[in-house]
Amino acid sequence: MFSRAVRPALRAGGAAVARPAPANAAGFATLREIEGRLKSIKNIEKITNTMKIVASTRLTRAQKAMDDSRVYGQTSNTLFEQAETKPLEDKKTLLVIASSDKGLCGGIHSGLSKAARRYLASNPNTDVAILGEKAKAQLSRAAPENIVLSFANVCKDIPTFADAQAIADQIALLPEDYASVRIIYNSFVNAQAYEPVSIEAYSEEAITQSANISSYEVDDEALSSLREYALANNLFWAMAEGHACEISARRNAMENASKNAGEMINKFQILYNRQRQAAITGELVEIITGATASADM
Amino acid sequence: MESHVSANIELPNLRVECRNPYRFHPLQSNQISHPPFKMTAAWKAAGLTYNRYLAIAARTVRRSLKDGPRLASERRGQMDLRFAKWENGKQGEVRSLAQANNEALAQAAEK
Repeated sequence: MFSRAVRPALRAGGAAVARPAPANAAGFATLREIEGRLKSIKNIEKITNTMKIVASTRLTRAQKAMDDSRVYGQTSNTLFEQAETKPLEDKKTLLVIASSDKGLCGGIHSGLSKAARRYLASNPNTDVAILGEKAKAQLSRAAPENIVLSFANVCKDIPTFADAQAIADQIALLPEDYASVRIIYNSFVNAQAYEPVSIEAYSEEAITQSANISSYEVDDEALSSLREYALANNLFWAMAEGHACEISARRNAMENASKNAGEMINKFQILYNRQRQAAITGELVEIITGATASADM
Repeated sequence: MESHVSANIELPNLRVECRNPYRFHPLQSNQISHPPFKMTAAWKAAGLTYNRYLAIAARTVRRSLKDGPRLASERRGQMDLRFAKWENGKQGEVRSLAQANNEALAQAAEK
């Protein structure tokens, strides 16, 4: 009787000497730790959820702006399609990368810079102008020698045509005479998929040398205006579409983050409850064994 | 609309050409030494790029709107980009794009 009653107490006592002291302390600490982590994950979930809601509300506007801007770009490119304009082979191309300043939107920026690096690998004789800090940070490590211009503050809100015009003007001021300006941007395939594609704005020479230009009556002086205007149109299109992609990608990323945070919260909640229960049970066992032991005496 | 705007922009030029300012009437094209509808417009002679010309025209239209639509549309004309030139893999000084474009414009006008 005595031996049986004392055995758990002994075991508990022995354990108290050997293990529970750290385990108990550690158990208590992990409970605190788990609680802290649970709290921080809950905060993160709140933040990502809010960002998702913000992105969702901005998404409809961004998509509308994208649809509007597409008309600009496509209308202005109809001429070059009809005239079958081809870029000149022998001269330099300027690569414009339409990324943006802000992250937390999945892999769309790195997708762009990957596409740019692929292009640079096959055409090393290319200059690069970058819109947005993210692609700048990535490409300034990969190909710093090719960069000639970088723009910041891009695509904070829905890009305006004034932005596109100012950028086009600055690009026109570059000393080099480019055969064509190739703009890489994320095209909006659907709400889940974005694909880095490129559109081209040609130089005057390329336009005059295009196969089918004779079907148009073009004033020579109008040609340089046309070139600048086509570049601004294409930039506007690329920026608006890239912006819509970014917002959409941010919405998705934040949705996933909230979902993951929710899963983690569940897991930690269960762990926390189990630990708490274990601690309570342990304390009860100690109390009861203590009580039985003292009742026996 | 374009002919109208270019005629307006050509106004200062024409005043110089017409000795007697009272005989000049901007809408009578027979008094203008070169036709206003030709592409060699004054904006080009002044060193403006086509984009710049469009931006100024758009700004003029925006400013002449009523208050409600004007406020809504003026947001579309805002531009506060910053940019930096790169040389040999090094980023240069970060500057305001609007300022740099204005300077380039002033330089082009001097030529």
